[in-house]
Amino acid sequence: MGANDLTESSITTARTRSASPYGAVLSSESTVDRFSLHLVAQPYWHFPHALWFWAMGLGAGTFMVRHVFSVRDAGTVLGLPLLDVLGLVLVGIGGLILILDLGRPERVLKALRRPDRSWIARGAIADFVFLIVGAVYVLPGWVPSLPWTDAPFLEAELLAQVMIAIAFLAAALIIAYPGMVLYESLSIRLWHSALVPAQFIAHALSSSIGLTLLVLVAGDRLGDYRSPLAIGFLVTLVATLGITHMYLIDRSHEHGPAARAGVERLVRGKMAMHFWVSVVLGFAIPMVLTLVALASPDSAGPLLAIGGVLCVVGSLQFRYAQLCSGIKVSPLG
Amino acid sequence: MTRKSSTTTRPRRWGMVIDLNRCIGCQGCAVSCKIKNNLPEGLWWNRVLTVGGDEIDVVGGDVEHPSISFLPLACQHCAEPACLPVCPTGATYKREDGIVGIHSEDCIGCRSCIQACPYGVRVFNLREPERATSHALGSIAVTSGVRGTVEKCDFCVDRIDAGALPICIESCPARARFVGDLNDPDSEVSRLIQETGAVQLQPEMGTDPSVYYIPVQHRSPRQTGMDFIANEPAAYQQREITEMLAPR
Repeated sequence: MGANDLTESSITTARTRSASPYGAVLSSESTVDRFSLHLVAQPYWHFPHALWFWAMGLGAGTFMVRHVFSVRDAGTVLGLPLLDVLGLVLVGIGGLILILDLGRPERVLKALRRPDRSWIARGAIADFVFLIVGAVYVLPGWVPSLPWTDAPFLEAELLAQVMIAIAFLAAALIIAYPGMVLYESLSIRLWHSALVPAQFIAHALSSSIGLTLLVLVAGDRLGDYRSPLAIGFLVTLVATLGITHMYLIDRSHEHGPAARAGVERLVRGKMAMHFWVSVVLGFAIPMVLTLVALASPDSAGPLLAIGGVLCVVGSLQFRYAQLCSGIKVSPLG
Repeated sequence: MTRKSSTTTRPRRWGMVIDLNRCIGCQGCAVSCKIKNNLPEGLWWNRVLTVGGDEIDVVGGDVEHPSISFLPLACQHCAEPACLPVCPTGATYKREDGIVGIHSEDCIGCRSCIQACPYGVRVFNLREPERATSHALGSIAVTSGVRGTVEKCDFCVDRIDAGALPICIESCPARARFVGDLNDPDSEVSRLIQETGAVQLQPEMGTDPSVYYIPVQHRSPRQTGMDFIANEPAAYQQREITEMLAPR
């Protein structure tokens, strides 16, 4: 969607400030008054970027969840541990989307140059480290003669533990860095909040526990993982909703119209349906389902699986709504 | 360039002051920039926006109180550029004299800088460049129109380094633009900023732009050359229509 497509009432120009819900704010800003600045939607980052952020977080988070909860028997795919492979594939997909979105994809390695100042560079390095170390770690599934196994961290050999630790750190960076990338976008005030990286971490963890639950239930392997994973799911869902709530309050109180226009667009404007569906179906209902599952262990499997699916989908939808609500004050109408 | 000015120990910081009272919206700076930098079709490093009406060169306000002024807009060459820290390759750089540039051969086209820039002055070459002429125009020192990369005003760094004025300043018929050292309190730009209360665009972003604007002080029709329209709107319009329809 381009800037010219903005038609909803929340997006107004400074020229029409008398009709704007943000009139008082705009009038108080001398530069807006003098130069007739406009509120425009950012035109570049939409669904592909949402997919990139979501896939990266989900993949890296799934790897982390497997090792934090010591999930050893979630099944295999082509002889490799399913959850680790899912993690690697999802991060790989995210990386591929990122590369394909570049204006010059053949120059992608140049993106590793400035980790001292750019979060995209740090994230790109983390992606490569995660993919390489993670791929080596799961190799014993194909090459049994290698001197380590693909067991989870606590049960693994020292060499494997080193690899898991490196991949784990890279995964932690991967789930955080998209939030930092958004935070760095100084002009898009909806994203310029310290709560955005926290939100990305919470989203990644909740959706990756959801995916892990789904995989375990589908493979009829939930067993002893039910309680710890359900509790972890509940905690991360509560954290996700709590951080989202604080984030909206934070952005609603920022000085200047762009952040508030973004919140308006997200909560009541063009992206409201995506936002509310993702919050209610993606996080609130899974929370209720998890509570019910904890209270009634007999029906826990299907409930947790449904909650997992909803959370995974809802997380993607939230990313999309948040990106499309990015609004900046610009001299260009 | 790191010349020390005579009255200050700080290194030179190139800056520009644009007097919006003088700008007549002729687009001369935009066109000369486009030619000098051999910009492909659809890309402008320098634009002159109309403040007033909804379209370019269209008067705003109402019939009794028409209003129009212009806002020349290009890279603000910020002291704290928002585009700089987000560039993953180091393609965006800032010289010691304050000029912010792009090494196009290092740009991967991630567009993070476009997202970060509060001024909307960076442009992206989405496709292979098309130019109106079959041959290159302008300075051979400038690289522009590389598909898949971001570009923007470079403060005519080739001209500045050769001791010449940026082309937008040289081509401005209204003499609305001034260039100089912001760190030198005796420079023309520093004096103008001090005397006229020139302001930066969106200072709340904390980017400390090096381009200052002298705001339009009085938007009266007389100053904008439209007093006749304001005083006799109906008569003016009628006369204009009559003239248009008159046989030649």
